[in-house]
Amino acid sequence: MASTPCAACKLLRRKCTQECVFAPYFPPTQPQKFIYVHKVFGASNVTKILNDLPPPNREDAVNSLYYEAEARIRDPIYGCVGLISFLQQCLKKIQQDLVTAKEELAGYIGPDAVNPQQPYLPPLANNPPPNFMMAMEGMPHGVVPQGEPLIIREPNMPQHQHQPQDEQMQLMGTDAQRMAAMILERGDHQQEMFNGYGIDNNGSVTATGYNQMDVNDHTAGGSLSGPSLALGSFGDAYQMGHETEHHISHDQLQTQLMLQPPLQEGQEQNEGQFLMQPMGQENLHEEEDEEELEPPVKWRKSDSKEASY
Amino acid sequence: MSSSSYSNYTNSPCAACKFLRRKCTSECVFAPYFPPDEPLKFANVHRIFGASNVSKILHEVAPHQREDAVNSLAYEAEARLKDPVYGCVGAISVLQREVLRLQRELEETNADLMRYASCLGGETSAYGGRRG
Repeated sequence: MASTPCAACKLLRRKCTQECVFAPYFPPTQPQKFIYVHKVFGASNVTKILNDLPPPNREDAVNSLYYEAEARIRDPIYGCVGLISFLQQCLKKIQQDLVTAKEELAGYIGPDAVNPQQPYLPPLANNPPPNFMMAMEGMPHGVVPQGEPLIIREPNMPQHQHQPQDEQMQLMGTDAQRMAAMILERGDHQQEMFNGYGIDNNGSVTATGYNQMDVNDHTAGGSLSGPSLALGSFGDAYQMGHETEHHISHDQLQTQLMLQPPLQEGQEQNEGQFLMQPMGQENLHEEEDEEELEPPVKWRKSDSKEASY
Repeated sequence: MSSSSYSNYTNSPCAACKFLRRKCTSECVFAPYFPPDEPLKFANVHRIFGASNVSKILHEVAPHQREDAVNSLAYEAEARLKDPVYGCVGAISVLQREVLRLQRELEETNADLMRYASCLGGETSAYGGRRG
């Protein structure tokens, strides 16, 4: 392995030295990984990002860059932002279903008996996970066309992360209402969209979706236990504030990192390790075989039919 | 939005050309989407993706889709600058977690509902049988 140049140096046709910043993360057996990252971010930018990070965080950074790059190549318009939007819609739909189910259940056993210790209200409005709130912050100005239903809010203040929580909740609630309207508008297409992301007709998540994850956490924003935590440090870091970002050890991250870029062809998959694979590569070059779906984001101005998940 | 706002600045170079210190022509691919009053938008995108890559992506997509493409790139760039390790992939993970958590809660609630409904149904039919 030491004599073989890494995938990056091979592509860039340069000598792979012991100091090569790419070598630990772009093995020669995965040439596609660097090709994608290089195509979308550029080797120079990736080098800068990696050099700015402590070594224990670099592997996660490379994997998330790869994930974003693959998503962008697959969908040049929305990249993985489309998936964020989709997940928000999905979340809203499940919240609504849950409210309905709990109301119905309350008819049988009384309102006090339904989750007496955790009275259910939509999490976004009642008890938003701080990490989720943070995740929704930061959409650059102009992402959401004005006057259209929006999924990802446009922050209008630079200090949004210090916004009072009540205000954040209110904003998220507004988004949720808009999402609800949007889901109603979508009608049958919603189901296609869910299918495209690996959620079956009953609304449950299929094998390509999220069911590999074992979640023991039931408190919003709380920590998940077990080795199946999905990129937990992102949320935890935001939950604790930016000053504590990336404090989790590399070992923890390795066990937590479930959201992986799609596998290379022929690469062995450890199924239990993967949380989701929304961007399978198998059809990457077979556009004609891809199922055409409605764009997963309502804030899209254009009626793109190219996006396919 | 960008197109209209850009029309107000036709005399000023776009944020991209200003940043890159080049002349902003009428054919500038960045100009409609990077108005001069939003310099940070281009700075972020340039820092993470590079102007050349952004230009390539924009040329790949149809003109009416470019604004969405730029905005999603800007979102990704800002997320990456805020969190250099995970970028917006962290948000995806958080959302997935939340979806899964609620999905499980919904399944449990539906199971409870089924149980109560079947119990009630059984009582009703038994009662109805006695009456009949």
